[in-house]
Amino acid sequence: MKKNLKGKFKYGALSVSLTVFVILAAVLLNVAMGVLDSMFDLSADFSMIQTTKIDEVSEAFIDEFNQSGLHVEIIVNGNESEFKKASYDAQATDSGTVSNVFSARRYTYELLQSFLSKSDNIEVHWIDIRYNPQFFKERGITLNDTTFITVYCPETRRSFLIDESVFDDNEYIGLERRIDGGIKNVTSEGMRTIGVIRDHGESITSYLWDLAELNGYNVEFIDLYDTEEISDDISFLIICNPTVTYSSEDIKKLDAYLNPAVKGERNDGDRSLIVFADSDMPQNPLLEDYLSTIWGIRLGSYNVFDPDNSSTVLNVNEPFLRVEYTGSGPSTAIAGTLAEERNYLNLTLGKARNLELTFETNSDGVQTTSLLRTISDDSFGKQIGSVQIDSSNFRDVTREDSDPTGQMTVGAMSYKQGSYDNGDEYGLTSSNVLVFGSTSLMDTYYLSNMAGNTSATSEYMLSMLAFLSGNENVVKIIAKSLISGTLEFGSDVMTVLISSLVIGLVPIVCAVVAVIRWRKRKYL
Amino acid sequence: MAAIIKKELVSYFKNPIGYIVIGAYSLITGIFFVISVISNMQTYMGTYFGTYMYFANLILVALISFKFFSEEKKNGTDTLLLTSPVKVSGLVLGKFVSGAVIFTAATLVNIIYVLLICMFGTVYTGEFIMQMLGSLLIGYSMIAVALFISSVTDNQIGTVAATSAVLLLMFIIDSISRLLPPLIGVPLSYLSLYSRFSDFAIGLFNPAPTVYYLSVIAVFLFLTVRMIEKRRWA
Repeated sequence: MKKNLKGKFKYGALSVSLTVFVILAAVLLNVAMGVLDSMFDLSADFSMIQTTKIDEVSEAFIDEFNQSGLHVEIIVNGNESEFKKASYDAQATDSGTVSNVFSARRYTYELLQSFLSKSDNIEVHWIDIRYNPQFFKERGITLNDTTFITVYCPETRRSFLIDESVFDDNEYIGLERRIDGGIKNVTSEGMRTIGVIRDHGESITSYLWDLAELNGYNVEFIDLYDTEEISDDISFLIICNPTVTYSSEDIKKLDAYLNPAVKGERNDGDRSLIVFADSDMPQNPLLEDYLSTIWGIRLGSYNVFDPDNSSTVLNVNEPFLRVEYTGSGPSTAIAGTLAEERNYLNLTLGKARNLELTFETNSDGVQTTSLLRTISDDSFGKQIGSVQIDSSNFRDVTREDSDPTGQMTVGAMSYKQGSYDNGDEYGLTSSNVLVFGSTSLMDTYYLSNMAGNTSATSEYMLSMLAFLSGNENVVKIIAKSLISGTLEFGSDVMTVLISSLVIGLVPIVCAVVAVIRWRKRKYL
Repeated sequence: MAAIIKKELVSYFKNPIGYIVIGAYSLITGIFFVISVISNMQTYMGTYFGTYMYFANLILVALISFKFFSEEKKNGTDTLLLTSPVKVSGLVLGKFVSGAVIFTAATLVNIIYVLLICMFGTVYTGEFIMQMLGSLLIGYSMIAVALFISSVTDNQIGTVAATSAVLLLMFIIDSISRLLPPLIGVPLSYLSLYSRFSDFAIGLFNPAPTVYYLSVIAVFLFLTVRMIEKRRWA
C-alpha cells in the first residue's frame, strides 16, 4: 500500500514536472520568436497590395531624401499594438452601408515599417495626442481635430498634417504618397508657389492643389481685385475657366506679373501663367484678346471630337478623349516619360475645345508651340453650343461637311526669353503662357486613377510644373491605387445566382450524399 | 495510429454525419462569404478569413468534438481503447489527425468559392493561399483544444458546450487583454487564438504566428495525452 502510494506520488510529480516543462518550453519558444520577429523582418509578403513593401517611386524618393542629410519624424496618432494587429476595417460606402476593407491601420503600420527600413533618417512615434500635448508643443505643431499623421522635420521645423480622411478615397493618392509628399514638403528648400486666381468665378476646387503640395509646392489663392501687384513669390499663376470678365486693370496686373522676368531689370526667376478654358467658359474678351494678341494663343470656337480615340466607361458620367503630345521640344519635355517611345501613354481629357496659334514668332520675341492635339486625322470640330456633350453621346457625334476636320490643338504654349543684368548678376529668364482647351487637367476625377483613368494626368501636371521650374529630374509623387480587385457580375440577376450557388451548392450535394448514405445504412 | 484514423474516418463517412457536418459548415461559410465578399463587390477576402471564418471554424470544431473521447465514454468503448495495445500518444494523434482531415475536407469548400470569384474578378493567389494556411492552422489548434476538453469531460453535450465556450473566450480575450495593463494584458493575449491570425488574413506569412499555432497544437495534444494516461492508470 505504502509502496503503491510512493509510486503514485513519483509518477504524479514526474507528470506535473513534464507538463510544466512542455508549457514553459512552448512559452519560451514563442517569446523567442516574438523577439526575433521584432528584431528582423521574418515575414514574406503575399498580400494583394504588397503591404510590407513600398513601391519604386517611394524608394527613389527616399534615396533622394537620404542624400539631403535631413531628418524626419512621422508621428502617428494611435496605439502601435492596435495598428499592428488589425486585419480589416469597417468603411462607410456611398450607399450608406458599411463594407469591410483591408485594414488601413495595419497598412499604416506595415508601410511605416517599410519607410523605417529604408532610411536611418526617419523616426516613427506612436502618440496618443490626448495625453501628450507637450510633445507637439515642443515641435511647434498645431494639430487639427482630424489629424491622423504628422510629418515633421526638426531641421526646418516645418510640419505636414495628414488627415484621417486619407483613406476615404483610397483610389486617389494613398497614404504612401502622402507620406512621401509630407517628407518632401517639410524638407524642400526653395519651395515654389502656385497662385490660383479665384475672384473671377474660376473653378478652384481641385485635387491638383493637394498633389502640388505633396510634391513640394505652396498653393495660394489670389483675389485679383484686392491685389495691387501679384507677388514676386508666385512662380505659377493659374486661371481656370473664369465666368466673370477680366477688366483692363486685371490684364495689366497679369502683364506686369509676366513681364519683369524679361525686361532685364531683375532676376525674379521664370514666371508662368497657365489658363484652362473649356467650352463652358463664357466669353472673356479682354483676357482672350490678351492671350491671342500678346501671346499668340486664341481660344477656338469648336468642341473637338475624335471618335476613334473616344471612350466611355460604365457607371462613369465622363467622356474620355485620348490626345497625343505634339512632339515639339517643349511638348516632349513636359510630357517626360509619358512621351517616351517604349512607355508612351496618351493623355486622357474630357470634353475639350480647340486652340489656334495666331503666330509662330512675333517681333517681341514671343514663340508659340502646340503641346497637345487630337490623334486622328478624322478628328473634327463642332461649333460650341451646337451639341450638348455627355458621356452617352461623346462617341456618337458625327461629322458634317461644314465641320473643320484634321488634328486639332487642345494645348499650347508661348514663351519669351530675356536676359537680366543688374550689375552683380547676369542670366536668362523666361515668361511662359500655357493654355489648355480643357479643364480636365485640373479636374479631381481625371487627376485620380479611378475607373477609366490612368495616373497620366497627375504625372503630366507635375511634369509641367517641374519643367517650368527648370527642375525636371525630381521624383513625381503621383497616385497609387489601394483598392482591391472589384467583382463585376454584370447584373443583379447574376449576383443573386452566384450568391445562391455559393450558399447552396455544397450543402445540397452534401445533403444528397448524406441521404444516399443513410438509405444504404438503413437497408444494410 | 493508422487504425485509429481509419476507424474515425470510416465512422464519419460511412454514416451521413460527416456529410451533414460538412454541409452545415458550407452553408454557414457560404452565407458568410456572400455577406463579406460578394455583397462588397470586392475580391478582398481578408474580412471573410479574418473574422467570419473563426466563427465558422468554431462551429465546425464543436461539431467534430462530438465524436472525440466523450463519444467513446458514452458508448462504453473507452475502456476497450485504453486497454488496446495502441499507445496513448498514438490514440490521441489518431483522433487529432482524423479531426484535421474532416476539417481540411470541409475548408476546401473555399476553393470552390474562389474559383467562382475568379470568373468575375482577380483573386490574388498568394494572398488566398496564406489565408487558407492560417485558417487551417487556427482550425487544427481548435481541434487540439477540443480534443483536450473532450478528454476531461464525460458527455458529448458537455464537450460541445465547453469547446464552444473556450474557443469563444479565446476570441474575445484579445479585446479584453487590450483593456488591461500590459503586465496582465500581454500574457493574457497569448491565450487568444484570434490575435495571431491577422498576418495570415492580409496575406503575410510570418513564422512567429505559425510557431504559435504549432505550439498550441503540441501543448494541447500533450495535455490530452497526460489526461488519458492519468485515466488509464487511475
